[in-house]
Amino acid sequence: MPELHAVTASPIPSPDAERLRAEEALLVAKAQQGDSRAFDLLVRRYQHRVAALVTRFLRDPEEALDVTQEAFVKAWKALPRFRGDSAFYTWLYRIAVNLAKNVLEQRTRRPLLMANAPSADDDDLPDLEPSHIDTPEHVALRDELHASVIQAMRELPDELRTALQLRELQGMSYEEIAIEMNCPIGTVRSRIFRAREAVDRVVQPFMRS
Amino acid sequence: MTRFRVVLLSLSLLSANATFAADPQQLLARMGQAAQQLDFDATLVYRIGERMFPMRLEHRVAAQGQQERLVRLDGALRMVQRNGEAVTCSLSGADAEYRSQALQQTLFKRLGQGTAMNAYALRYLGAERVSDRLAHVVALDPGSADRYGLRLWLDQESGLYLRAAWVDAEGERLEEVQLTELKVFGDLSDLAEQVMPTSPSGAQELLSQHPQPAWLPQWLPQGFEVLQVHAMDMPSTSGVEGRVWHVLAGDGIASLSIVIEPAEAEPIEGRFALGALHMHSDVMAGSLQRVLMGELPPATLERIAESMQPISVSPLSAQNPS
Amino acid sequence: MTSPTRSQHSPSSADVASLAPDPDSPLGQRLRLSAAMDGAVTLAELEHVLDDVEHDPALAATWSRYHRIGETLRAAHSADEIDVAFDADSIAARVAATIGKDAAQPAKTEQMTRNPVSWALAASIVLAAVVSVLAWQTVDLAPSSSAEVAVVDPAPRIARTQTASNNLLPLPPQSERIQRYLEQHHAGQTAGAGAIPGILPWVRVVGFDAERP
Repeated sequence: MPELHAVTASPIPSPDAERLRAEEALLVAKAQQGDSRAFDLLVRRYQHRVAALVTRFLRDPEEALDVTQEAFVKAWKALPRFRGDSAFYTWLYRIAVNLAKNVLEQRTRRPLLMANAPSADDDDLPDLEPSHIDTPEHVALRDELHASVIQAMRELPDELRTALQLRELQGMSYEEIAIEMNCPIGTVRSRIFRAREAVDRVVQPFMRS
Repeated sequence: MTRFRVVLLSLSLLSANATFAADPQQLLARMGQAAQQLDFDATLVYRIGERMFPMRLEHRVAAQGQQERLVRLDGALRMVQRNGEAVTCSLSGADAEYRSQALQQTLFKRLGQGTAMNAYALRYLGAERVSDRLAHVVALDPGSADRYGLRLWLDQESGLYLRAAWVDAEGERLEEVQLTELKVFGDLSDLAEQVMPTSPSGAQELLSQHPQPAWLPQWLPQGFEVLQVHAMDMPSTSGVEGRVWHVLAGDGIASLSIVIEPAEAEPIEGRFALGALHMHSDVMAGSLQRVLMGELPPATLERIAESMQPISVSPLSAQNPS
Repeated sequence: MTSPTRSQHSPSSADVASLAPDPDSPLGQRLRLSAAMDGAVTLAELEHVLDDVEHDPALAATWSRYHRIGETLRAAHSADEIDVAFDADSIAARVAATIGKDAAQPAKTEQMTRNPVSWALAASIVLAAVVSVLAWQTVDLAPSSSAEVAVVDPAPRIARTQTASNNLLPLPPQSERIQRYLEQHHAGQTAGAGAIPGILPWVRVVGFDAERP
């Protein structure tokens, strides 16, 4: 007998969603209490990911920017209702996707269908294929940013690079990294920070408006 | 199947359940049991006015309670999911969740006690074929024009609803839902008596916690009872601060919601219709937005609205009459 | 997660820098910011971070860039693509401006923090489990019929509105408030107030086109 599966959107590739939730729990809690500074940090944390996501649905960058902004504003207003059952980004992702789909919907209105026999695949909810923006400029910029970051990482002292990789790629907590690297937590904090500082120097030119 | 064999089949089914088939109250009770206890998938069409919406409904009974999902099959993805007492709506930008503990008395108990029976005539209309299944047709007709009637086509095999339609005094269908395909899983033979949840503390206790006046209707159609009264301090849907009152009432067939909250700069005013559901919305006492919403004719809503008065409950008199 | 066993570790030269800088120096602020990204700060430290970012836009930009570094690293290891089409922090600036306009309600914040428990309940739209069926008399609810209820200062009778029953409009789909009312009403039906059990009554809501303006 087929089981009902909860319909969720789980877009986080890594690190572990559970970890992320614990990390930003304080920030989310403060934002829920109405602290717009905390929400601002959340926006800054996810703005590019949401923008990239929305862009896959809406080709026009201006429109994507508007919808991204709207998604965050909507999230801010709906924050009191966010119960923390899912990760914050999962929740934000759904808001953004729904908004983007609504915009697309209004453009490509399809006629109502008569009820037909259901398809064999019960999980066939209507899905819109996202599209990628792949202008030559974007591709070039993206590749350059990638290359710069990778190069900057290579030039780091081993312990700094390892600490940052364990954090960003493995999603390990400071405590776990301390065990892994056999050093105090304070050292972990410092190494990650110094790695970020070093890589930040090459990222800055890409981020200037 | 030839017509001859179909007729034979339906006759044999009817004769096997002769007394069962003829008793509309039993059929309704069986519908409630089936809807609560069976695992099933259904495709359905909801018709309202000129429009039709194909949807999918799934129902499962899990250890932690009933799980259901209702999804629109075309257009924007609109979905409602239920997990036990929690209903989650994915209908707009952000999900909204509602929790409601099952009301103590279900339709059938109420019908059994006769309170709603006085207001509705319950009739068995016969058998009919719906979506290639045999159905018993049950009618709930109001005795007066102050409310609407209901027609139910109930699957003979499982007891589930196959079609439901709200009808007005002229017999016109205001809205209708029909299952076009139904797949039931598991054993149909053992539908247990519905389990009644125990009732929590009384309404007076709740009202006494809120010293500000509650607004309650002084008049309700016969058979109607106030089922839930709820007040919250929160930003209302209007975004304005204040106390939000919800009153839920019903007669087991039709239900009524009353919401009172601080009015905002542009209050909602007017009378609206969505199938059998009507809404009466205005500003009361200068600054309160009042909304009445229910499967009732607009004139009935208006009469209820006009009867609303502020009620104040003194905790002492409620609990310790001195 | 059990706490790690900390080995005795004599600081090497590489670790001298791990001795914390003055937390209020720019370096110290960025260090704290970096730790806040990873959730490795106390509530008090987070408060500092929020204060710092509020007063220093450059620090806010640093937060954004630190996140981009992580995203880029992850993208380099997966097929995900990171779009660089958007100006750094332009989104955040626009969102902050919009929220700032709408949220000129300091009282709202206070309301929410005053009583965390009741706020948490109210924050989700809850039809609280309430009551047994009230035995209100269905015809007459005048105070004389019930010792527990007193009518206090009754409001003036509502003026009789026009009863033209064909003067009805379709429910406006753009209204979020109406959407909420609809949802609450149908939640009551699922709880057992109506004839049809379960979520089937929600067909009305699911079929209701609540388009956002």
